[in-house]
Amino acid sequence: MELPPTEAAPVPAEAALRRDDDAELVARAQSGDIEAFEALVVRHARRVYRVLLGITGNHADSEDGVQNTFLKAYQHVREFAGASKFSSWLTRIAANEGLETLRRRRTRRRESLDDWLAEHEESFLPRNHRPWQKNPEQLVADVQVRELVEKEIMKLPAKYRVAVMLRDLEQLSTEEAATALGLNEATLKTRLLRGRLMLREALAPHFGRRRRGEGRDV
Amino acid sequence: MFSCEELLDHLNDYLDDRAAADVRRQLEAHLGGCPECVVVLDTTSATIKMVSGCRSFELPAQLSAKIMAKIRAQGR
Repeated sequence: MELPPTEAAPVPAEAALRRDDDAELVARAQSGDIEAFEALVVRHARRVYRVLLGITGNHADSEDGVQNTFLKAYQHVREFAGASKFSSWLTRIAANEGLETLRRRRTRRRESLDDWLAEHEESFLPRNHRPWQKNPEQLVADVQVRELVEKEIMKLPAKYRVAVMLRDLEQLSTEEAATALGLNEATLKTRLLRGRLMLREALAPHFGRRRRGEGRDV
Repeated sequence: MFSCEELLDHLNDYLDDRAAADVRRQLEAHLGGCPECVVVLDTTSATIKMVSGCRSFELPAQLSAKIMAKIRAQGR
């Protein structure tokens, strides 16, 4: 089984500064308290699901992946030494689970591990330069807009989709997202920019101001 | 002052409020004379707000219960 890299022992001062809101529940889970582990499941399942959906792009694979992630976390929770936050450790297990899914489907699906591993990023230049007709606060209140955003996020290639989902949906810091995905920060930032720009480009035709004589906007 | 491509290189840091003062100054100088980049900046910012505001991809119902059922069935 592929688990996160072995954690280096933290410097005491760092360990003291690094507060982990899960520490108490983790300690109880490590001593066999299954209700404590259940509380961790409830707290973190949505993020794990989003990581898996971001990588695999498939709801059924993601549901299976969430279950496998928590099973592995439960089996290995005693090995968690607290050098990182529990949520980072768990997210890394989820990312490995998602990448394993990509490996398994390597020959049968268009989203492959090769694409994920490719370091070279071609530049992506914005093409649509029309201002949008409504502000985002107005737009997110619309159920159809939410469905459109979800649909366009799912169309992004995996490596961009998961960067957008972890940073902009889950609100992880760049450092946290990069660590969770096993990437360096520069790579994560490049993928995030590309993902944000591609998503903007996909949404622009729906929200951009029309020129006179064109059809109605969303 | 930045070119349009240089602005893109620093767009994330600017939008995430992590750009250094000098970068921010050069980027804003470019924006002052480039309406197309102003649109790119505004609409990328709007895209981020929409993604964070939509609260998409919620956990499927009963998934947490399924996880715990599996864990309880398997034991340690």
